[in-house]
Amino acid sequence: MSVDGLQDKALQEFLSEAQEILDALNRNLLILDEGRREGGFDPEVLNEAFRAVHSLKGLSGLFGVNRMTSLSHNLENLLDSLRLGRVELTPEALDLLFEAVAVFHRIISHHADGTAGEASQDHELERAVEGLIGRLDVVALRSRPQVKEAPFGGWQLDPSVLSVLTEYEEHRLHENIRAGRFLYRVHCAFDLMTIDRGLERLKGELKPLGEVITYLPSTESASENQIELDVILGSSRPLDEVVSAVAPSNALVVMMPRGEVSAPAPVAPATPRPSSAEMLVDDGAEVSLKSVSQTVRVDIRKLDTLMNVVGELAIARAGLQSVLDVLKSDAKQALLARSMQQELRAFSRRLDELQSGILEVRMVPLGQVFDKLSRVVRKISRDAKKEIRLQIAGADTELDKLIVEELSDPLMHVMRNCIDHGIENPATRLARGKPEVGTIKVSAQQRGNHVVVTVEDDGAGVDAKKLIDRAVARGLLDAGAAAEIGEREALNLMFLPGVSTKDVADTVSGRGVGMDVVKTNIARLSGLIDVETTLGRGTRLTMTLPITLAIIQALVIRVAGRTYAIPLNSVLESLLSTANDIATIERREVMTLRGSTLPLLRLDKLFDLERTVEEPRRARQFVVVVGLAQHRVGLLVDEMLGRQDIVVKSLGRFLEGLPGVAGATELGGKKTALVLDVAQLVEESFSSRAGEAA
Amino acid sequence: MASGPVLPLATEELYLGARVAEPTTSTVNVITFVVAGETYGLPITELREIIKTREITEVPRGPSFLLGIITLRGLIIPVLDLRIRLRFEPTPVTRAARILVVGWRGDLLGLLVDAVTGVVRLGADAIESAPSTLSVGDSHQVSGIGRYLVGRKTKMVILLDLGAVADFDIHHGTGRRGHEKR
Repeated sequence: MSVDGLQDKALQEFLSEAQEILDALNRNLLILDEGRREGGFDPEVLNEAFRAVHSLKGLSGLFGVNRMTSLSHNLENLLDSLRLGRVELTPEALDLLFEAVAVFHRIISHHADGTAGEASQDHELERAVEGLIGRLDVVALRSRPQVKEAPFGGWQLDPSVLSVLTEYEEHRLHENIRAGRFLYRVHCAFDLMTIDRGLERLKGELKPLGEVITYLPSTESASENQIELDVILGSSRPLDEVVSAVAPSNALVVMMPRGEVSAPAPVAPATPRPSSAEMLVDDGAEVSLKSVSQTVRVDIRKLDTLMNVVGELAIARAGLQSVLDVLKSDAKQALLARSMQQELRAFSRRLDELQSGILEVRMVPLGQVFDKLSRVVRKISRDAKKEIRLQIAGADTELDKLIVEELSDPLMHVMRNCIDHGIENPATRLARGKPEVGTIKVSAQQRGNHVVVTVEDDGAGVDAKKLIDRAVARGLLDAGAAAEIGEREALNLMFLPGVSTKDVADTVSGRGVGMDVVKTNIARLSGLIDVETTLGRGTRLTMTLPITLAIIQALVIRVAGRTYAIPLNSVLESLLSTANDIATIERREVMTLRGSTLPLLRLDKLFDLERTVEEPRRARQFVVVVGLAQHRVGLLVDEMLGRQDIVVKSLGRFLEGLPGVAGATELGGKKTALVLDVAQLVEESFSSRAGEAA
Repeated sequence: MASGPVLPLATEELYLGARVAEPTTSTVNVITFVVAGETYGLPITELREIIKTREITEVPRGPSFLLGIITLRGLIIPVLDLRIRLRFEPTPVTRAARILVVGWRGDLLGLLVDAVTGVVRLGADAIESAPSTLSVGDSHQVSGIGRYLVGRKTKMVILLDLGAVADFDIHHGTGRRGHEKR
């Protein structure tokens, strides 16, 4: 299903691109039509149309839209004949071109609205395409042996010039002669160093005068560091005008000699007779002029703004709810309260819909990042001389755009680690009885409001002992602690900056920076990261990420009279504790939770909050268990005010980097509360003595 | 120093009116306000809004002059106690106190002052550079001294250097951004 989903998305993208190409093609055809009726068209426009159809052919081939490919192919032939002058651009030819655009549109809508499978529709479209292809060929082929191009209308052209012209250029030369234009040879010398700019300028000077038919290297000898070019220009302007136009470029202009002045006799164009193929004109469904592509590109910041508005609405809803609570407490207002409750409920539902609608718009598939990964893996594995097979699953899992972007760096570091530290080189692998080619499995899966991304390799696994040694050597861990450290804790050492199991740093990894980055980035996204490893068998990294960051659910708490919000995605559970539950280990407060030790953190101590007389520390406190990356900590708080949807706002440049605070939010009633940065608090509690017993 | 009449309210109109008045090149319009009994001023072009004091959310572990943050039309704005920022002793906040919302390099900053007194127009020649022996604790936050006439009396306004006022480190109580690692 995942593959289908991805292909579907790719197909949709192709269809909207094809739509854009067709729109441009249609515009060009309209310009051609207008030009033709006024007696002459810009050959460049025809060239553009030709190129558009050419790229359509390539693209549709890539996506397996075969009807479009074969139609483009035949259309391309016709356009080629047109631009080479083998076929005259008659109203009938233009009609065919327009009809082709219409049929393309039908093919697109056929694929876009998923009727591609329906037999009746399919058949009808098939007939339309085949009919059109037949008629295109009739026109393109019938005219081919049309005429030998007329002699050069008396112009005496250098045979050495003529011999190097392409078929198209030769045709344009004839066209210019036929139109009664003068032919000029513009000779210009360019310095080797500045030829690009010089040529651009000359083109700019010539363009308004007429048509540049070709650029030829000059037959005259050039000096060492100069290139001399001859430009053949077709123009109806007199010589002196051309001379003055190219004066800035210091070009020499010569009008090509002409024997006779009389205009060349127009070549009788082979007017295509109304073809019998015309009878095949399909009288099927009218093609709507409406654009089929339903895609709109939107700046993500606009969505942020919308999200903010929704956030404000959520605050307003909270305000209304508290008004309702007041009404409810008054028996005389029971009737009013009931109807307000009804209205509020309806409003809430719509608001929720609006919110999830906007969230959905922000979602992009993780495949965007995974695609990058395969490139990275190919490159790194080649550098490391290891053979790696990358298996990807769940690329269609969707996450907030912002998170997907933030994920690409950590994932890249993880890949590097897998390849450099995890997967052994082929010889070692064979010796260990493993397949020569290493495997890295990347998979994503949605679980409720989270997405779990796992990266698994079948490499050597992580040697916890090595990690401990390195951490001790770096002074990040004292020897005593090292002796008692559990395996899980030891593995977590890999996320410390400067710890690497590799002895020598190289270009890929080994400096001990990578996993530090991974942890920091994942924590910033309010994500969790876990490592499991079996020595000799491989390592599995599990990253759990929230689906969105824009509006988050928060637990609103109070400590020492201050209100704070804790992102709910980092809250594991909350419980009530009494003083008896709390013990101290090395002067740090801890409690026992289901058999394991939970370090405790007092926010009021950490933040140096003064307690007023009205807000004494209570005997019974709530413990909010927060988990971040590998650590879990219990925050001791006075009161739990409940869950609330909040919009986290940045503190701005002045307060950037305020430790322990991720941002602020408006809670309603003009009250502003700080949103705690759980990652930083937890980290701080482990690195300092902030958790000491009071 | 006399603090001048305390404006009751409606200061937004006042400042808007002053902004409309086209300042000529040689004069500068200055909003004047009282901090610890002294009259201070800032170019009116720096001012975005004047609001009454409101509940300010305390920010933990910031410098002492950082009162906290407020939300103004959806934006989070830090508020400094200008009295402490200028090294005066804090006094109780009275009803006349206001928060000047100023813009500095695209960000908004709130400055708590004791009272807003008005707007004066200073000619370029009426501004002298700050004397080195100034009673203000942090003289680097002063850009100059302006003089203006009220009736026949010459009054003085201490002009603040907003850049210096806004240049503080949240990790230290001293002002002047440092680069100490957290």
